[in-house]
Amino acid sequence: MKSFRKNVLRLAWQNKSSIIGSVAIIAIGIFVMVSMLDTLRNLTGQVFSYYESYGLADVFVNVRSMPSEDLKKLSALDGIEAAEGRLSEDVRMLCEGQEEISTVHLVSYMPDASINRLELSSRALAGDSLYIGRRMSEAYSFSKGTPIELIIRGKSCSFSWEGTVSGPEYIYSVGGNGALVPDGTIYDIAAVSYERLARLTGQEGCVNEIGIRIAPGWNYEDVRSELNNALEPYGLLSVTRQKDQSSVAMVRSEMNELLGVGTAIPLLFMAITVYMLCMSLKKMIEHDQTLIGSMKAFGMRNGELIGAYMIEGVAIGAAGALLGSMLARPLGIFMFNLYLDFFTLPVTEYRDFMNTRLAGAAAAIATSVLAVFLGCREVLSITPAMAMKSRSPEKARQLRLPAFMTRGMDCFSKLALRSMIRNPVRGFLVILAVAFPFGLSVVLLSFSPAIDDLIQIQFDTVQSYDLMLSVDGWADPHRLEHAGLQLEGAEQAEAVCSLPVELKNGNLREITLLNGLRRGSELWRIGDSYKVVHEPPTDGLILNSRTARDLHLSEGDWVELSFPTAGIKDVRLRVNEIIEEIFAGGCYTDLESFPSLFGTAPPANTLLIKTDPERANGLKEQMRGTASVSTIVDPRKIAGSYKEMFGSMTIMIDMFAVIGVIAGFLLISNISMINIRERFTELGTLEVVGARKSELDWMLALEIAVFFALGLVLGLPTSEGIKKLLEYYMESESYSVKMTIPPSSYLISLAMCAVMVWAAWKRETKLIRSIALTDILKERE
Amino acid sequence: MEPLIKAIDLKKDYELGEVTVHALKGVSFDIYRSELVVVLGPSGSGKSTMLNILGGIETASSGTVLYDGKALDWSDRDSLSDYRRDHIGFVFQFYNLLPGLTALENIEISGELSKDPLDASKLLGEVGLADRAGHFPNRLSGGEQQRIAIARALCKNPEVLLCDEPTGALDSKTGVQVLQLLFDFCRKYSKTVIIITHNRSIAGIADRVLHVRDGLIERIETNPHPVSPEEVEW
Repeated sequence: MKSFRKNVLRLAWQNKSSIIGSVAIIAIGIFVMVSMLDTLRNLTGQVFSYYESYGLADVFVNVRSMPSEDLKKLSALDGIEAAEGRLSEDVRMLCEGQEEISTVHLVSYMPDASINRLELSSRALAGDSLYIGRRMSEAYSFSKGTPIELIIRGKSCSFSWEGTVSGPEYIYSVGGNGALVPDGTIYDIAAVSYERLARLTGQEGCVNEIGIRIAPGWNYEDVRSELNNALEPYGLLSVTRQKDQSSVAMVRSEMNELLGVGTAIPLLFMAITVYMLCMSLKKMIEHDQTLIGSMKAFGMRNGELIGAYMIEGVAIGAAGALLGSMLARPLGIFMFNLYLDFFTLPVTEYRDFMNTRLAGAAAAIATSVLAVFLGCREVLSITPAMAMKSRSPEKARQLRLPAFMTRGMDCFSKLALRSMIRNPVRGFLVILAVAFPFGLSVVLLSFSPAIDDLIQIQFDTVQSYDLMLSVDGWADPHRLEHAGLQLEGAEQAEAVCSLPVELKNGNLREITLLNGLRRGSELWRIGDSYKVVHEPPTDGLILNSRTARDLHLSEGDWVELSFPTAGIKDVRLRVNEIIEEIFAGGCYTDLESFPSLFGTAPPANTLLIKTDPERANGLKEQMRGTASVSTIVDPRKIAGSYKEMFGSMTIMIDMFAVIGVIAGFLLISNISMINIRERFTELGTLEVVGARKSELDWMLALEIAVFFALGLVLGLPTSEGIKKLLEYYMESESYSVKMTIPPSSYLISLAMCAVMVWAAWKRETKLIRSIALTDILKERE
Repeated sequence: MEPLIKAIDLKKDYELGEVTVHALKGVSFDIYRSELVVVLGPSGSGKSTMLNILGGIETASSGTVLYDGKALDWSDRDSLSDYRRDHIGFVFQFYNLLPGLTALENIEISGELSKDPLDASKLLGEVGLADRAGHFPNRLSGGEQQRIAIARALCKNPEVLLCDEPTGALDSKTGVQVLQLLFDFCRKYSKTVIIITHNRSIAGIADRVLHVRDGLIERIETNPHPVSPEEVEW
């Protein structure tokens, strides 16, 4: 038994390129799996422990004002375990050396809070102490005692930086200024004592931000109606479930993406491994038929024989798992740090998870053992009598090539064609091995230019203004525009009405923004992912596709609109169009049609300014100290943050393109090697009868070239599929990516795949040069 | 008469680890046009090595092979390929038919390599397998496969047919049929046939017999009255 195992391993080593290829393919799968899942586990572990330790609320409520004592009434409702409140206010922040317009979400620190508890870096809440989020503190290099001005309700208030603050609902903290990526220079959270904030906002004894914990056994839907009724008297602004809270939703979306990629890619690589190993084992069993027959004649059982081959499977799986796990650590750390650029977490230590590796090893070993079993199950059908004779050749594929195909072809071309068709499954796999990396690299290489293109469309065509100012309260659009044109350097000014709105369709609700825009606007056009510009409708709404999907709305449906902050009565409007937008989005209507649609004059609260780009900074400077302007958005800054975020993704995406091509090479190369080994006698015989090596090279080149061409053809729909898949995975609450593939991506991918195929062909030609003609002649067919 | 093939002091050594095996220790002989030569010797005597060197599929450690007065260039693989393509036909013990080609196509491919091929269908008829033209090798018996292999070798219309134990894997009846084909080819087309065998009874059909032992030519025997394969006592 021991000797037979030794023989199996020695024979396997003679076929080492297949073995090494299988190990490499498994290693790539495990590499991706372990790095992604370890990153995911590090993130989920830290995020969920953060949520738990700091009591992330189940429901987030914003009201105009509620006496603190009334929180008890909420806690007394059926299904509510606890309700806690605090004060909050979005305010402008001014400090030394500031170039941007910065906003902080200022909250009152409640020392006894158990829901949405804030973590302060120190406990020195003196009267003017201010704690600011780590990101902004680092961006402006705040140190203890740094003086900071906050503009609260039009009044400038002085504070002194005391330390940093963090909270579980601010892991991904982007604010409401249109930014996609957390940027400490423009937005973060801040905390002061309750007493100070209450005094500054005139809300002593009140709260306006409430966190609710639902009792065990209850869910949000059970308490929603009663909760809303209880909150109405306090000027209910919004009720958000935990899963819809912006930071929670973004974190979950990123984690789902990681999980999807971390499981789908390894599965693909495992499937490739099964095929490769299975093929090489089959050849080995065919080769060993007489030996296996003899062993059976000696009394060895099937289980013992298959067990000997299984050792090979276990060894390949274990080697692949070990290699993949070792390589995974640097990628895991890189990805984890990438996420930390966007996530604010209290603990930022990367841990290796042994059980991820064990799971990877189990998956790898199971894969290779399955492959080995499929490859060597023919052992079961070999009888001792078969030891006495050679294997009968398998039935060859009867193939008659049509005359028009072979006319003018030399015998090598005909042989190449026959060889391609003789084993269509293998041929198809080679085609797939070209199509997949080609399609993958075409799409992935298009990612970066596509993002640049989208950002350009968004900020040149859709949002072509230079500054967006949000003002406190409401104003008449014409008066607001007139005031805007008085600003030094303002060339164009346009008022916009941006109102938080709750859209309802039956039981489905969604809070979004209703933007009242001017028809024919040159500063803010409604543009979709397909570069089509839509005019705001005068008799209904244009709705973002993500919102429409969540509300199960189609074009022509009616939707109910409630305005929690604007004092407009509920109305029903028709959904005129549903559009796919690149970034964020909400719903749109014509500004001038407000009276007919909502029975009120348009309450403008946003002003778009067009200026000479060189004068934009001067304009920002003018605005920085203006009390009536609550936020100022610089689209160039937003565009920069998009570029930064997608830029980080591009590194990973390019890496996957390279991995795809390497995997394709390994697959093509190994299948080709199996193919050549199976045809040793055939190729050797051809050489003996007078074929030159160059003619054999040409024959193999023709085969691989045809597969390459077919692979490219199949690669086109494959790239379309991968593009759709990537677009699907990339769609989040904040953006959706619609890619157009530039010709350069096709050309670069073509070149990469051509090199990959050329390298595989060179390996083939090298292998046929090793055929010993005298040995071939001794072999029995 | 000028020999078609002239072997001069051929030596072939194989390095097997630290051991050097002297497969051929310096053999010289001539082969003439249209003669049927049997190379007879026990296993390991060097006869297959000799045939492989004559056929240009193996190189000699030293010595020269002249074909039609011109020395084979061992260092030029392409010229050796051309030599095999233009002048030599091979018949192997284990047939070596291409499994993806039918019987007829296996013959045709050889013709396609040649400048002056014979008609493949006609040859198929001559080897008695016209009705098996569309059959793939795995559907043919050993004897049938060998007859296809002979037709394949003939289709190139080579000057010389080198046969390595062509009947080694066949029963006596089929073996005789195969020898008859080789004999007829030699006589009908005036071609040179060299048969390697360890079967002494085959020697009777040869014009000359080269007895090989221990890497040397022991003796060369001329047979004044070759017999037909049918008369061979197997």
